[in-house]
Amino acid sequence: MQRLELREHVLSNGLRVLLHPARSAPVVSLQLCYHVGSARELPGKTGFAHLFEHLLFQGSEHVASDGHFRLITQAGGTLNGNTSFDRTHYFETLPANQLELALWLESDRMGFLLGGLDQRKLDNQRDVVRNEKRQNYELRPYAKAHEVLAAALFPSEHPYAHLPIGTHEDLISATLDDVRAFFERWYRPDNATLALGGDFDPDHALERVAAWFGELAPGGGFTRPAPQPHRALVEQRRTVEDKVQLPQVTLAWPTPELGHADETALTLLAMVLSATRASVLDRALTIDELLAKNVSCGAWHGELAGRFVITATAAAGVELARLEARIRELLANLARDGVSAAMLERMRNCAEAQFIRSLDNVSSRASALALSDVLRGAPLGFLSEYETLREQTPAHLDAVLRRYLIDQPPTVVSVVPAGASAA
Amino acid sequence: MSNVDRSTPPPAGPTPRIALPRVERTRAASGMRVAATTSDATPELLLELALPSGRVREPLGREGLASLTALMLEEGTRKLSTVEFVDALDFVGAHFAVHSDDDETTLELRVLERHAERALELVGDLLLEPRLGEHEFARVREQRRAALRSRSDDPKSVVNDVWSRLYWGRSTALGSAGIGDEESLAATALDDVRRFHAAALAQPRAWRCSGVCRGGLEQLLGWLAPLEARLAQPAPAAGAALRETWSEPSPLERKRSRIFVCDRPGAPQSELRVGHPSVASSHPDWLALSALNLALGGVFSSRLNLNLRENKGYTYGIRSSFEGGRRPGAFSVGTSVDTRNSAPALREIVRELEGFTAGATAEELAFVRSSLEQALARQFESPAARLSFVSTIERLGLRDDYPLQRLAWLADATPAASARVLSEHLHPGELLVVVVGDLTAVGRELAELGLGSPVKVDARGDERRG
Repeated sequence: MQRLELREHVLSNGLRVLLHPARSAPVVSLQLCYHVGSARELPGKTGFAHLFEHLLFQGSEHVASDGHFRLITQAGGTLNGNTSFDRTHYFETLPANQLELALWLESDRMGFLLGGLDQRKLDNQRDVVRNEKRQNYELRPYAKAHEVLAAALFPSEHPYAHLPIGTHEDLISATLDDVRAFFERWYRPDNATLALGGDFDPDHALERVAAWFGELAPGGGFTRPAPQPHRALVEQRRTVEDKVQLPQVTLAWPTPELGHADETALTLLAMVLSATRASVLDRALTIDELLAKNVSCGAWHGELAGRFVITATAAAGVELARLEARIRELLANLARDGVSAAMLERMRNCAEAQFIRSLDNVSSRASALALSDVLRGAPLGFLSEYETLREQTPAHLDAVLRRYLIDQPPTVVSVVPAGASAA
Repeated sequence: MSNVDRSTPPPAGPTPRIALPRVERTRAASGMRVAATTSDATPELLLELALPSGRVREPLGREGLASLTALMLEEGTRKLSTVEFVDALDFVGAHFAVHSDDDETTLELRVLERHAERALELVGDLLLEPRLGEHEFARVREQRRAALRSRSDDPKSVVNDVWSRLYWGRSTALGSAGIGDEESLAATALDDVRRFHAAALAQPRAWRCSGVCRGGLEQLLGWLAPLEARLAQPAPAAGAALRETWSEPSPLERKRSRIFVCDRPGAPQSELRVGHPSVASSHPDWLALSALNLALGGVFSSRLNLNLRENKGYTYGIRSSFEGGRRPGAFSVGTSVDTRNSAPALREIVRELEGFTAGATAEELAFVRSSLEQALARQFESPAARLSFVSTIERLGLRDDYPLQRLAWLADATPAASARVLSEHLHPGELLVVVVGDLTAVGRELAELGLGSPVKVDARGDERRG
C-alpha cells in the first residue's frame, strides 16, 4: 500500500478539513460528510435525513434551484449525495481548476440553504423520493424484505430499526418547519468533515476553504453517539409476500459497531462464506447440492452497531425450510471443523487486492477519509481494514462465527410468492 | 465581514492541460489485436479479452447460447474443477468474470502485477482448454431454468425483453431476452456450447485484447507471450465460423407510433421505454447525436429530467440515449413513473422529443460543449476508466481522439446545425412505446395519447390473443 498524504485542520467554527494532495490527474474532489443520518431521526419523521439530502440539491440563497447539477456538470464534473443510517454525504469531482466552484456551492448550502427553500421544492422532492421508494423498495424483487429485516433485527427503539428511505406516511407529513428545524440542528460546520483530494496546493486550498466556510456559524453541543450494540436473545421470524416466483430467506444477526476488535474477522468471515463461487455457502448450495439459485453474505458495520446478513434464493422446487436448515447446518459444521488456513489466506489475498482497487482514484480516497473521520473519529482509521488483515487467524474467525452466528439466535425473514404465506 | 463574493459563481482557474490516454496497438502473431494504455494509479493489470461470440451469432432456436457459454466457461478447465479454478484465482486475489453481449464474449481480469503471470496462465487454460463437461452443463442448465422462471419478477427486465422483441423482431436472437427462453434452453445441448466456443477459438484474428498496466503495451505483450505460444500450437479441433443473424430493426418499416402494454396488476409504478431505431456508432452523425443527447436526457440537468423529475415529480429519474454500437442502435428514453402519472409522463416525453427536433438552444450547446470539454480533465484517472477508453475505441472502431472529434463538431455547432441533425435523426411521430404497468389503472388514458391503440403483450413482448 502506498502512503496516503494527508493534512488535517480544524477551522475556528469547528469544521474539520482534510487535505489529500495527489498530482496523478488534474482533478479535485470535494467530499462533505455531515454527521447525521436516519439514526438521528425522531419518531414519526422517518425518511427525513434522506428527503433533506434531496433538498440540498434544490439551490440555496445564492444558487439557483437547478444550479448545483447544472454548474458542476457544465464544469465537467460529477456529483451526488447519499444518506445512510449514520451520515449524509455530498460530493463533487471536478477538473482541478474548479475548486472555487465546489467551495462556493457547498458553503452556500451549508450556510444559506433556507433562503432558497420553499413549499414547492419540498412538495416536488417529496414526490421524487416517494418514487425512489417505489422504484427501489416496492417494485424491485425481494426489496420489501429490507424494511422488515431492519425492524425485526433491532428493538423498535433502536436507531437502526428503520431504514433511511422512511415511510410514505412520514414523508407525506413532513412540513417546511420540520425541514428548517432539521437544517438548523444538524447542518453546521462543527457537525461535518470536508475532505479535498487531488491536484492542489494544500496551503492555498486550506486558505480558500477557510475563506468560504470560516464565517458560517457553529451549532455547538455535538457529541459522538455512543455505540448501541444489540444482542438477540430469541429468534425472530417474519414472512413477507412479494411478486416473485422463487422464495428467498435471509438470516441476520446483530454484530458490534465499526472499529470493534471483531470487525475485520467478521468481514473475512463473510467472505469465507460467500465472496466467490468457491466459498463455503456458494459451493455447497449452488454447486454441490443445488439448493439455492444464489446466495450472498455481508458484514456491515455502522457507528452504533453492525449486522451480519446471509441471503439465499431457493432453487426451483426447493422448500425454503430445507434451504434455511441447510444454511444453519453449514454454519454449525464450519464452527465444528474450523476455517482452514488456506481458505483464510485466499480471502485475505482477495480482500487486500480489493482494498487497493477501491482506492485507485482521488475521489474514492477523499471519500474514505471523510467517512472515516466522521464515523471512526479518525480520517485514516479506515486503513485498519487493511492493516489488520494479516493479524487474523483461523481461530479469530472461528471465534466470531461462534460468538455472533452460533451462540446468538438469528432473525429470519422469508420472502414468499404472493398468496403462498398461508400455505 | 465576508471575504468572499457569494453572489455569482466564482471564476475558474486556468484550464488544466488535457492529455487523452495514448493507445498503443499491434497484431500479435496469433492474429489477435492487442491495444493498451498505461496507468500509474495502482500496480495492477486490467485486461479484457473479447471473442467474436455474442448473441448476434446465436443460431435461431438457440437463443441464450452466448450467455450460457459464458457461464460454462466459468466451470473449470481440463485440469481444474470449477471450485479448484476459483480457488486458484482467489489465491492471487484476482477479479475475473466472463460475460457476453450482443457482439462479444468477454473475459475480464483485474489482478495485482505480481500475480499477473499466474492469473493469465489460469485464464489461458480456461480459454483454450475449458472443461465444458456434462455434469457442469446439467447444473448450469438447471440454474438457467430458475433464472428464466424469475425473469419476469423484475419489471426492469421485462421492459428490456419486450423492447428487444419489438425492436428487433423474431428473426434474430437480438429480439429475445439475453438468457433465451424455456424452449431455446430445452433445445440447447452441450454440443451447441462446445461448437459455439470452438467457432470463436478458431478465429483469433477476430479476438481483441485491451489492457491497462504501468508498462503499457510492451508489458502487456510480455504477459500475453505464454498464451501466444500456446496459440501457435495447431488447434485440436477448429470450429466452423458462425454467421450473424441480425437484419435491420423491425420498426424501421413502420411510419407511425405504436404503443404496447405488458400488464402488471397492482404495480405502483410503470416502466416506460420510448424510442425508435437510430444509427450505428460508425455513422458520421453519432458523435454529434451523443453530444446533443446530453441536453435532451443524458444528464441530470437535461430537458427530460428537469421536466419529469424536477418540475413534475413523476419519477426518480429519466434518461435518454443514442445507443450506437456496431449495428443501428436505438434512440430511446427510459424511466419508471408512478402509476397514476403514466399517461401524463408519456405525453410530456413526446412533447419534449417534438420540441427537441427544433434543435438545441445556444445555451444548451454552450453547456454541452463546456461539459464535455472540461470533463476530459477527470475522465481518465482510474485504471478502469482508462481501460474503458481503450476498449470503447477498439470495440466500436472509433478514432483514438474521438472525444476531440466530438468537440470539434461542437465548436462550430449552432442551434440551426443541431436542428438539421436532430430533425434527421429524431422521429417523435414514429415511436415505439413500451409500458410495463397496471393496465386496468392506465389503459384508458394510454389509448387517448394519440400513439395508437395499446396492444397487449406478454413478458416476452409477444402479442396476447384474447
